[in-house]
Amino acid sequence: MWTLVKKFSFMFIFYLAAFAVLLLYFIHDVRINDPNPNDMGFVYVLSPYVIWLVIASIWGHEQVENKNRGYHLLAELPVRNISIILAKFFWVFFTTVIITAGLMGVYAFSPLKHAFLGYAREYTLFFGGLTLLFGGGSYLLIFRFGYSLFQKIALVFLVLVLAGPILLHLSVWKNLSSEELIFRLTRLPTTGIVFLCFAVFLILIPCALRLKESHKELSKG
Amino acid sequence: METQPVLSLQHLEKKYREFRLNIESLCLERGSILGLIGPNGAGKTTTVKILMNMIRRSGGEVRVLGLNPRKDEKEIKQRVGYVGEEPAFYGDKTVDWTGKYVSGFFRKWDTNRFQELLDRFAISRSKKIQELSKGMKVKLALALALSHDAEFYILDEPTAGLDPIIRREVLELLLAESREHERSVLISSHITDDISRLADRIAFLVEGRVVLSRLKDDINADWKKIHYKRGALDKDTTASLFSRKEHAFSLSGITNKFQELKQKFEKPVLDGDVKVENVDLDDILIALVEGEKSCG
Repeated sequence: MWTLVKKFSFMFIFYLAAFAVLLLYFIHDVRINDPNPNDMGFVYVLSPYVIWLVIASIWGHEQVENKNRGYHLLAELPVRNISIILAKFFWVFFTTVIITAGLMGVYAFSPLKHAFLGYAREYTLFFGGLTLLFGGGSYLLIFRFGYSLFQKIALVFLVLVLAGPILLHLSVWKNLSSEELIFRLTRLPTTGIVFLCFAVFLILIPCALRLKESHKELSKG
Repeated sequence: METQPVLSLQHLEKKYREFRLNIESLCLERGSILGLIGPNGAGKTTTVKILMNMIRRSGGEVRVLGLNPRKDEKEIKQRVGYVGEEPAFYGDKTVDWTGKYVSGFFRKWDTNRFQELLDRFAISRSKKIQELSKGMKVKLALALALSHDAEFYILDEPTAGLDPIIRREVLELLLAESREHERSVLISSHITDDISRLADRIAFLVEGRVVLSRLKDDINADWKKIHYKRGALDKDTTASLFSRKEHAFSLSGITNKFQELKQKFEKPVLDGDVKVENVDLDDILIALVEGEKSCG
């Protein structure tokens, strides 16, 4: 499994590096350009990006695999399907944890007042949980319907994640401030939701394995 | 363990919507080379992929090195050197990277052997895969398959699309590997010339069924092309010939019972009314395909 984890690292590390640059920019922005301790606008917009970054890194990684027939090569090598799935899910989990922790780090360094930090943390964890769900779900989609369909769905999904919070704020929730939206969301049992997402993520591993195994049966050749 | 066949298929079945693979029995002894011949779409690749558990069988029993591909896939792949129809590699990576990547999966990787094979095939280690020709990629796949001390090589149409020089080189290497290291080889191909050069035993696969499986020497002894003058052979003998053709001054046909009918041919051969020729595998394959079609 670790050979595969190492092999799959490139695309995920590439996105993590891109994220690190993004974080530096935001740290600079919230501390120097706009040091407002009552403004949670950047938290509202930035936290959902964990979904975007992880799905984009899965997309980039699978694009490379698809282009080079990477799964075909792996099928010829002495490696179990479960090792392939575990390596993929490991990276989804790892990047989600790193990005979520990174975001929480940015908020800790921001001039946000102490009372808001807890909300920011919960709001970020909530999206971290959702990311695990969407990340695991992406692999189910890939193993069931193939990369092409995943690519189409991922494109629409990523645009929604990118523009969704802003569009919602501008249209549906235009009378609510970012702070109010975060407070409302964190009234949900976020810790429970995160654990539930993690549990579902773990359940998705055997599901992905079954789909990958059954995918062998689809065509003659 | 040593006496166990490296490959044993019993009542192997794989059903698709419009195709059914149904192999009653097929066996390969240690140190032998089995050639699997068949036209396109006969089920050669399906058979090979079932052995590697890249496709699941619908029924029957399969043993590779005495192991079950479904349960022991990883172990089988450790001990089998596989070259597929179209080797898959990462295009933007170098040959060297590919070797290192693949080596990470094998218990018994021999780096020196790999380097030696790359030198023999004149493949530059620093070259990117996308810069290699199709022939070079096949050679690289072969070098990888031969570098982990495999006991059994499974090669699916390895020489398809290669020029005759590279084909000859690849076949010679396989033959040497089998003879010098007592390795078993299963090679599937529709290029009968390759099989004829390499195999000890030949199995003909037509429309998903093994219609003939024998030692090459037995096939050569029994399958002959007979050129005869009208009236030189009796009715029964004439009727038993396959692929009968009428020429300007004679007739011809193929027999698969030459040893049995040898005596019947002796006199007319001496009289110059019958000429017996060796038959190539292409003709046998065509005769078998025609035979299957006429059987419906």
